[in-house]
Amino acid sequence: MTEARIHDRGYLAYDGPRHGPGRAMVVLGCHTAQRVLGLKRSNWQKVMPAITLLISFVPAIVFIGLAALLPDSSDLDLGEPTEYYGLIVWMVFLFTSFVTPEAICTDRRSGLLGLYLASPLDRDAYLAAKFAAIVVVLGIMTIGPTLLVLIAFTLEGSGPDGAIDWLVEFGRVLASGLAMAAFWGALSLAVSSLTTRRALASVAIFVSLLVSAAVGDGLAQVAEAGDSFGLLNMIALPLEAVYRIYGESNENGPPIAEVGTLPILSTLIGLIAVFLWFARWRYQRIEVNG
Amino acid sequence: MSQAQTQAAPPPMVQCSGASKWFGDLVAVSDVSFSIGAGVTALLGPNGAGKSTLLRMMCGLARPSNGSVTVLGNNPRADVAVLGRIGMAPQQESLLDYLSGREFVELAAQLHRVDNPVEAARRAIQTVELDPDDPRRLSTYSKGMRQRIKLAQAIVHDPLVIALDEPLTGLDPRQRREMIQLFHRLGAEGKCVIVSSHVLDEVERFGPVTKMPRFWRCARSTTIWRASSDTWWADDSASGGTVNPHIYRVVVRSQISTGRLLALAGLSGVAILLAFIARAADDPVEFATRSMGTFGTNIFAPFIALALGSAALGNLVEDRTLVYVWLRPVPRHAVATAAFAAVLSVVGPIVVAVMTVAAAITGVDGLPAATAAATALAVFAYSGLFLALGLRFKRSLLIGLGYIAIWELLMSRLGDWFARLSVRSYPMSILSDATGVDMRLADRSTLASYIVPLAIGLAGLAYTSWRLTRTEID
Repeated sequence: MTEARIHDRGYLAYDGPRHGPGRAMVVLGCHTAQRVLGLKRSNWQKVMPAITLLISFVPAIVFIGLAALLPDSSDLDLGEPTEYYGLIVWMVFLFTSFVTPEAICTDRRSGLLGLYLASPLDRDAYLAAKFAAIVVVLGIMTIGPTLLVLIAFTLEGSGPDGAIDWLVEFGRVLASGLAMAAFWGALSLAVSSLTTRRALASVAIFVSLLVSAAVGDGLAQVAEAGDSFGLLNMIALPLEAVYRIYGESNENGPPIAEVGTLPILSTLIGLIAVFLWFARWRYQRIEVNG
Repeated sequence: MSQAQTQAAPPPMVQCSGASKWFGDLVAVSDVSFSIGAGVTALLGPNGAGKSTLLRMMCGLARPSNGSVTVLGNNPRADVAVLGRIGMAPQQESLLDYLSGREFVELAAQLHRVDNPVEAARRAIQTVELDPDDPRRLSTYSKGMRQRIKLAQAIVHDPLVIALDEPLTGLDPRQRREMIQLFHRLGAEGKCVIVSSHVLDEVERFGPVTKMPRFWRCARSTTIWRASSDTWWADDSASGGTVNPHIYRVVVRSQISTGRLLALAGLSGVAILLAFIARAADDPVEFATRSMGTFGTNIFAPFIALALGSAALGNLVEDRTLVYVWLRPVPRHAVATAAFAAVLSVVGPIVVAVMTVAAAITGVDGLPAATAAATALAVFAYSGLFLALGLRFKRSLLIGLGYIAIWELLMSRLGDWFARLSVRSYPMSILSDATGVDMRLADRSTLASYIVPLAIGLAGLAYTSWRLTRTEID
């Protein structure tokens, strides 16, 4: 007589540890950062992130190379740190327009949003994770190169004098990079929340930035209210905020340079808040079908 | 010798001779030879066996890589006239969603130049048990309704050869029975009805099936089953097609959306705002010329042309609804011309009118006429360029945006050679000539400023026409 055994134990419920929304946000943020950078995707998806990131680091590498190769680097005029942002602002602009809409548009188009919302994530947590991922990725461009220059110059002996000065400079690098990344990240999030099509969001971001520059500078040049209209220039605003963080002003720049520091920083923070609020408002109303 | 023995064999309505089709390394159909006459014929095979590819070759949507496929004695790929005798319901679910069911079937009838398209559409829709007066858009249709409306557009012009790719998918049992009866009725009327399916049970319901005596080798095996015997088919010559205004209407309809209208309104508002700013400026001539040139030819014209031009045919290719144009006896160059005309007629008048009004508001002498000319030329060139781009690349909107951002706005500043290859440099020169404000990106003659944008637009159209003859719907 053959002995029969039952091997199928039926459905086994998972009774291991469960992580909360915090863990889900970290996972989603990492996945988003990977996706935005084109990692584990086709070569086509890597082109734009790679080119813009590479070009944004080129001046830093050239600065460091010159400082290392020239016998007396103290005579070398590498300009102010703020000028660096002027060099890479177009790359950040292109990155924001072309790459960051990938962070949220695709999820809605492919129905992945429904899958995410079925996890411990709610809509706010989802958006927070996405925003954090965008800021981190943009931060690679806006913080990375200047931090690299700071560290290289410090190691080479031509950096800031003393620990306090170094920390102040480091704080400025972080604050400047974060200001730019947060502003353009929030703008990207707000515009991308309007459409499921990534390309359309890219065009909308691009056009809105160009139009804001044309209208803001135009109004600032002729209107009686004067330079304050320059605050409408969304390309110049974060750049000018960086100058102010360093205690300077972009004298050769657009009319916004004549505006006080407080209005510039408060407009920047206010716009970041408005963009984030708008994205949240949109996502509270989106019906998930996927 | 009996009369039956002396009678010649009926001419085949569909004939494949050693037809093969491969996509790169993937062999979809290999060395297929058969001929089919009137009656219902089922193509049975598993997913990926090559049934759909075979049907697309029969309908001229794909070119055989080797061998030949003829329908009613003609090559459906080369001879668009024979498409007037073919009806097809493709497998894909995507339809021209911005049309109602009646408009969709009517469009098919119009493209086939049916005498009374309204009545023909009504009859076809009723045949598939849908309501011809249903005003809802196709985007609201259920899967079963979409299947039936696809059948309606396939039979609206009373074709002789009807190719139906998985036509019973999504239908309920009663509708399946009705449809199978319809196929038999069409077959009994002397039409060649070819139905593809991977469900044996479904094929068996077509009636007493007979295995075809000849098999072909496919990537995987596909089998032909026949439901009725051959009957005589008389060729009474397929009708040809010329330039068709209905394509124009379809493209225009597809371009109208709330988002695009809002974008148009928003950018128009910015143009007018800039004009008022220029009017109040210290140097209105300088400011007005620069703002009209920069905004009109660098932002407004290219971005609107990009949004509409790249979508005109690009979207039809991407969602494969181009098949509903391809299946009609309309020459490919007529499709390209109609699409170009549609883009121009939507983009051109609005952008040129807004920019001209804005230039007039600035009060600068000579600027309105120059702005109108410059903007019109920019629209023409960019429309042709982005129409071609939309057909060539899947991610045409992003590639077009990259072109504008990187080439037109950045690289064109690098020197004369780069500027010569930039579209915007030509209309900018026209504005500079008119007001004396130097915005030239490169030295060029007045004649070149007018001729080159026209040539670019026409080159885009020519490329689109050529590309369309090579485009295959997969």
